Amino acid sequence: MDLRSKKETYLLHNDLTCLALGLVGQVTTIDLRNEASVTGLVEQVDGYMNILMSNVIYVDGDNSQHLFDDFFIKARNVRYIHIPDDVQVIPTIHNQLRILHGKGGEGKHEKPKRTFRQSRLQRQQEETLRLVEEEKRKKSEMKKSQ
Amino acid sequence: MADDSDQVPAVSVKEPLDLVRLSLDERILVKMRNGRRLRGRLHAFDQHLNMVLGDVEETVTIVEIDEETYEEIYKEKKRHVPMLFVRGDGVILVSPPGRVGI
Repeated sequence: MDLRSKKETYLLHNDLTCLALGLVGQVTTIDLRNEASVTGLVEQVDGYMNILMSNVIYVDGDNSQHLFDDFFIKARNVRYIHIPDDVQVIPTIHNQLRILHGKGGEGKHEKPKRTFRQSRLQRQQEETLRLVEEEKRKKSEMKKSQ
Repeated sequence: MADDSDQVPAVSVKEPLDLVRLSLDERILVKMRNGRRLRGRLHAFDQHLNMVLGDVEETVTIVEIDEETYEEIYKEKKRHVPMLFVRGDGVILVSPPGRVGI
C-alpha cells in the first residue's frame, strides 16, 4: 500500500531519490554531514531521502565505532551515499521509475465509468443509425419496385 | 531529470542546469562545503544538484594553526570511491576540470 503524499511522489519522480530507493536491501556506507559515517543495511527510504538502516556500524569523526540495531538518518544530514559496486546506476533508476509508474497504473485498470447522459446519448445515436438504415433500405426497395 | 543521462545534450543552452547537462558522462570538478573537492565522472544529476559521480577522488583540505608559530598549515586528505551519490545541498560549484587555474 502506498502511503506517500503527493509531494513525496513528485520528489521521487523528479529527483535522484529514486536511486536511493533502489538501494533498499543493500549494504551501503552513508557519510553524514557531521563527519561521521554509517555502514549498514538500508531498510527503507522515503521521497525526501530520509533513510532507515539496520545492523549499523556508526563511525564518528574521531573514528570511534558504535553498533546500532536500527538507525534513522534525516535527509538533511546525508552528505554522500556510497553506491555498491554491483549496483548499476541508470538501470536502477529506470527500474524504480517503472515500478513507481506501475503502482499508479495498477489501480486504474477498471472500466471507465459512464454517466447516464453518456449511455443515453449512445442509445439515441444507435437508434438514429438504425432508423437511417431502415429508410435507406425502404428507398432502395421502392426504386427496385418502380 | 533522472533520465537526463540518456539524452544527447542539445546545443541550445537556456538555463544554468543545461551547462551541467553538457558535462554529463565527462569528468568534472565539484567544489563542496567544508573545503571538499570531488573529481569524478558525472553519471546523473537533478535540479537540486544531487549527483552520481563515478571513479571519484575526494580531497578534504583542513587548515590547522600551529600553536607556537601561529602559522596556517594546510593539510590535504584524499580518498577514492568507485561510485558516489552526492547530496546537492553540499555542492557549491560544478566545473569541467580541464580549465587553467583549477
